[in-house]
Amino acid sequence: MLKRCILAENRKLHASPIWAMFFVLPILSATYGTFNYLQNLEILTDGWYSLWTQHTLFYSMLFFPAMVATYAAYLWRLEHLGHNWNLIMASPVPPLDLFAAKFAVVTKLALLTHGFVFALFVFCGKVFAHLPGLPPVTLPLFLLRGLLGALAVIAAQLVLAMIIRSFAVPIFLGLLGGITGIFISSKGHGLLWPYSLMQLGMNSNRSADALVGSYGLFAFSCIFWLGTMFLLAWLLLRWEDVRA
Amino acid sequence: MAAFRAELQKAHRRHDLALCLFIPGIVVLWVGGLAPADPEELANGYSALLYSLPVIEAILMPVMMAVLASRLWDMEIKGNTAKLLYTLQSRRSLFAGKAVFGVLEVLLVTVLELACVPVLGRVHGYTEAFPTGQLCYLFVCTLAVDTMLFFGEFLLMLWVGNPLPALCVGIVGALVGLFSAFMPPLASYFVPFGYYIPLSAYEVANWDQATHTVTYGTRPFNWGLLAFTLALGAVLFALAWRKVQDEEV
Repeated sequence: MLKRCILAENRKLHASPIWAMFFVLPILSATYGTFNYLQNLEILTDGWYSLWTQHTLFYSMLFFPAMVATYAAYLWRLEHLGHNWNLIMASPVPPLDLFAAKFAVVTKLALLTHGFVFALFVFCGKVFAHLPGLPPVTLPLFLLRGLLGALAVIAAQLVLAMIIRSFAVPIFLGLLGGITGIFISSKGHGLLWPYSLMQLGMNSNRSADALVGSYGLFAFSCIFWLGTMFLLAWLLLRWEDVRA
Repeated sequence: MAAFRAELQKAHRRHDLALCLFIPGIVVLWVGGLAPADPEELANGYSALLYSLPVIEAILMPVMMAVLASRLWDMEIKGNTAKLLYTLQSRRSLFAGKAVFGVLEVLLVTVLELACVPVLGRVHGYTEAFPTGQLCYLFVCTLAVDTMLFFGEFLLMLWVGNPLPALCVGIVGALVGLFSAFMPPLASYFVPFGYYIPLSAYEVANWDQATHTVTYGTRPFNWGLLAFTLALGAVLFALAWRKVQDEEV
């Protein structure tokens, strides 16, 4: 049943305007990052690492949560339109499968976005910044860590978009989540807040690894928030009923 | 008046007020979290605050305006009530009700946000003289850019009939607007989403790399860009009104 739900969710993305954002945001982020790197070569002397910070700084802190929020809100909006909510509540599908299918599809989009970000990073590094060799292995690792952290953000945004019937409000809350993540990270409590996890994983604002010695705690925090959001979604969907 | 009252009733359980309160909340969190303790920083406190506010606005306001504009029209899309309204009431009153309600929301956001300035100054004990003139100018500029963006997003909602493009434009606009602030000054004039920053009356006068101390200075008010912003807002307003007039039932 979950597989069928995933196929249905994938079909909803066909010819969706969401793909425009998928391409535009990473390109803008890469353009700005490369420009800023080339303008500050006297300060940014760490080669690929410096370019990485410029490419991913605003992307991971502010715009990734908003982008994921848009993906999530778009998928739930369809259920909030017309009588679709009653339809899904009355369909012979375990409610958590609906949530898990949406989670799988948004995760797929986030994975593709991350891949696109990395491709742009390598392209800009070679073509515009003329950096030698290939990026260090640690940078794709940062990207994977970022994706692990992003899972909590995706689940949180899906819960918000499920509860709030408005399309716009969860997106704004996603942006707010990113901002609160910056502050909580700056106070050193980033591992306690889901919106900080992706930022920490990406290591986008420092040359030294932000997670040295705390990989276990990072993984635990990611799993904890992911589990909490799934549990919350399950409870809410069990409690929710048709709206006659 | 009846149309405005109808908008108020529609907004009854939409919790827009809570949304409007988010902006001052973030300002307090963002700027308040960087509480200066150094006497030199306190003597430059209001300047630092009024320099930071347009940058925060450039990140948040394009999305916030997209949210407000999309919620105002999205309920007619979701309820499929636009056709009903076009036939039950005059288009002028429908548009006027939505426009007035939207502008009042924008005004509320702006007032609440800038009310944080004296509050933060008092809480942190800034020793700099309160810059009344600069704050009034910032208020006018913020209101002008917010209103322009609001009508731009509202027009997009009317055109597309779906909040997704409006929100995407808001997010991309925030990113482009923020980036334009760090580009050559001429580039920022081509990005209306980021007009908060070129309209700002403050700039970095000196950055001491050794001590990491920043000193802010003022620059002349940018009346030309403010006038252009108002004109652009008026054009977007007129286009939105034309769209409502031309809409087929």
